[in-house]
Amino acid sequence: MSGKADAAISIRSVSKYYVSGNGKKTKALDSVDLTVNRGEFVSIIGPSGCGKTTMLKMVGGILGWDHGEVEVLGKAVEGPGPERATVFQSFALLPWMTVIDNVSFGLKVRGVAKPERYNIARGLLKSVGLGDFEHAYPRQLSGGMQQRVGLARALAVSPQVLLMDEPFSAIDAQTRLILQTDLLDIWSKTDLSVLFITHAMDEAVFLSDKVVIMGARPGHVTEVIDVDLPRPRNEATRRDSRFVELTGRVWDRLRGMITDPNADVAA
Amino acid sequence: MVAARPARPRAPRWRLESMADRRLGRLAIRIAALVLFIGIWQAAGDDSINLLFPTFTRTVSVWWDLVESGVLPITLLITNQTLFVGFLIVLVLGIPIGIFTARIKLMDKIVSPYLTFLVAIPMIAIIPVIQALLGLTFAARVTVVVLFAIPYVVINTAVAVRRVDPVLTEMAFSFGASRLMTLRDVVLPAAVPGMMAGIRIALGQALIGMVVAELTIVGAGIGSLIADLQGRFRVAPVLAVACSIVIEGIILMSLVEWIERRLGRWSKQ
Repeated sequence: MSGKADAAISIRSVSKYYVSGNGKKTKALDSVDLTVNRGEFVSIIGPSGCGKTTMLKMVGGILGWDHGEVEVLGKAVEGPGPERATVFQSFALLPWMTVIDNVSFGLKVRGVAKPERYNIARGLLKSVGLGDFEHAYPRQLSGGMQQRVGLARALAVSPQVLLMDEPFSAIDAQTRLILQTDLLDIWSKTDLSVLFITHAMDEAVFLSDKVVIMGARPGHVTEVIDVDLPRPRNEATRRDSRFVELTGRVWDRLRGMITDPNADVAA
Repeated sequence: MVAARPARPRAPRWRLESMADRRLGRLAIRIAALVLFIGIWQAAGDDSINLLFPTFTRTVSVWWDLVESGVLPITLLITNQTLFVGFLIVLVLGIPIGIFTARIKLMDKIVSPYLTFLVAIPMIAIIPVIQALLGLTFAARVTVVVLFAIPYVVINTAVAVRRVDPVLTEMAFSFGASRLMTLRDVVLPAAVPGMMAGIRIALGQALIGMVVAELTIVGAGIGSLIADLQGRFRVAPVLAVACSIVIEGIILMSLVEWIERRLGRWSKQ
């Protein structure tokens, strides 16, 4: 589809096995191929156990794999790297640190001096709408606000690739819609490439250029749906008939896997 | 935002439970309980012969005599040297051993049986062994304090370190933090509330150990003072000395609890 040079993330025929306690080998991923082009927003959706979070962790350099290749910006992944940052499902904020210290955590790890990292953190807090909360503690914030902190922390290290692991799944439905729009706003001002894991079909379609549908047992890519909705996307997009149609298509593919778990096992 | 307090049904003012909800009310209840306790003590005491259980007022006056004569301050000082040195060793050794036990499997295998042993057996049973090894020395008393207290610091530290949310360490790793950095900036701060709980329990044990060491390994301090007074059937001074230890214990425990609350504020709610 695209040349190697354009790929932000390139996963080529990757397989992974899990060894369970009794020494039994289970195939978790079966020869998966996936490309995220530079500046592209790609979502992965699939039933539980399809290995979508595993894939994200492999790209993040947190988990290894058994066969195939994983490359980020043309370089083989050998561990975490400064060009990637992750937003976590459970926020993963440090509860004893104030919001601004949480946002500057990644910069501290990289040895950026305090005044400078606070400067960067303040700018990002403003851009995620939390300018007045730099001295608050995470527990004083709602879930939605905590994830804004998580997003600001990831953006603070100025990554080129953003990995988001079901970032909005622990957040109530209304706040979620607002976060989706705000995320697109922030993303549109950058040249970030995003890999986004989700369970929500409307979320995947609303945000993405491409929706990758995965099946389970073992995890594999079933279909890649191109989302040709125009950008910038906004509330009107959610009422667009094309949006409804694409969401329906994603559901059709997923529903088949859920009603008949064996229907989708890879040959 | 900040969680609101759960609504409480209005209760009439004179109810004990509603009093306990107010700061001033709590203080009043505490003072009332203390006055009641002292009153019963006073009534139960009998000052006609020295051998009998003394009244509160006699105990206080005997205590003051011991303070004025300088006997009590000096023995307390000697005793607290044992406690201070012993507890310092407990912290300096216990916390790192706890961390290593949690993070290194081999260390866990080596340390755990001894901890179980130390917690399970009545410590007083091995005091003769310590005495045989180290004699009637300061080192022997310090060793007793350490053996009494250290398991609680090691075990609680290890548990606290093991219970740190793996997502937090994964987060640190994903930002490129080294093992040492993750330990310093993520694991240790997250484990502080659990460690402090262990330190609080250990302090109680160290106080017991301190007195037990001095009562059994005759040497110096409060323990030998008590033994000496007891030998001469002087009940009131024994009680006065014992009360001093109780008061010291309460003060030290409150101090540790205060530190615990300050360091662990983020983990509440």
